[in-house]
Amino acid sequence: MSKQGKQDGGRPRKRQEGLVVQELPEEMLVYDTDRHKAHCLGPVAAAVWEACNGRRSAAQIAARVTAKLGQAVPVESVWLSLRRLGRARLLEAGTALPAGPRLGSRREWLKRAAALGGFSLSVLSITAPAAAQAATCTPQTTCSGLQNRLCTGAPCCTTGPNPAPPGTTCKKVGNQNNCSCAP
Amino acid sequence: MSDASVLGEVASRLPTGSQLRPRPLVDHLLSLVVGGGAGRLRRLHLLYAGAQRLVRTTELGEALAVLENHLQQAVAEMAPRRLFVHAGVVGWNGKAILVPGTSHAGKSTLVAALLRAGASYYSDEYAVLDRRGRVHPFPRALQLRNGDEVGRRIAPEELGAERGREPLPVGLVALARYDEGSRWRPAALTPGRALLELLAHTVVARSHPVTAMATLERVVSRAPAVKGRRGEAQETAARLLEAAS
Repeated sequence: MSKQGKQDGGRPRKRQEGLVVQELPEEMLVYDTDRHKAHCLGPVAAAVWEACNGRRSAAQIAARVTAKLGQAVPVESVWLSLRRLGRARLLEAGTALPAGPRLGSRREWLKRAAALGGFSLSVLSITAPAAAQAATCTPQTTCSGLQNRLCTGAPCCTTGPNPAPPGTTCKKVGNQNNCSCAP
Repeated sequence: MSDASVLGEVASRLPTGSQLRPRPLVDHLLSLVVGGGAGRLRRLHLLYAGAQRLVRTTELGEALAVLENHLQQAVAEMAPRRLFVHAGVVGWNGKAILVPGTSHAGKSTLVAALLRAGASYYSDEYAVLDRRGRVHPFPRALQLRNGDEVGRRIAPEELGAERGREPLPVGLVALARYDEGSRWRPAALTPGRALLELLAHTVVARSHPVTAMATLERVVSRAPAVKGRRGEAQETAARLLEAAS
């Protein structure tokens, strides 16, 4: 297969099931209801994702995105965006991505992405909090330093320097003098 | 409740805006069995939500703390027409400044500094948003912590501030994490990133993502958002008020 043929080999298709989409003037927010992850797609990444209909090659996607955004978007940008969209599981499972240039390390990919306009290609992701995680939490260190009569009863923080196990609250446990993060 | 003598304590911990409704049917039943007693035989304090036991403790204060936390969380999860985002909120020049953040990120301290600088008080815990993206007051007393101590409650009036009464459009979203010695040099966030940050602090992000994202979109499409590390609250508060003017 020629180099061009290999690069055109994959026809990515965007995932549609289990997603909630909120469009913004230049970006796109996508919420994955299966994994409870939210993704913010930069302008190029959003346009690339929208163009993934399972019939277009990377070069065709690049042409379409260029027309949509009114600025030249090289096929390299499409590769990088597809790689990120794939990692965020926003493409159909089993989709064969167009083969891109062989860039060995993550650092090389990042350098290439920055050179092509980092923000516009970006796919930022967060895990949506469970309801209790969005409430005021007590750090485990603070909780274990409290005397029994001062236990907060609040969920223990699952992030930070000394994270507590998920689903625990700051409470009295057994005959201990101090509070603990416990289920 | 098994002991009427703790009624006052319970009433003081009810969520803001609570009203007595003499109706025989309830949506959610909470039961507080007050224990105590002297000598060797001490009964435990028990708190139930329906049939589920929430806490079993010898300390009444702990049972009440769990009750308060449970009620607040229930309101935030079940409010049908409001979106609760974990954030401090003050009013300034007819607009609201939102300070989203996790617990112990220094939200209440920054809110207190904003109040001392002349802002009006809306909340140190939740930004309560309606479908139009306006913020409503959730004015429980501020909970200020000092080191590892449990927070002490102070009324905004003690800081010379007024309580906000009317819903306000959001004028600024400021993600400010306390980092000793830092200077407030925030970076501007794009609307998409701002929405992502707000979603990370939204109580019903998982259960109602459509409503949450639509409401937050109304906030970020009108209000600028910034993010950075802050040092002393007083300096940051002055800069935030300047930015929101």
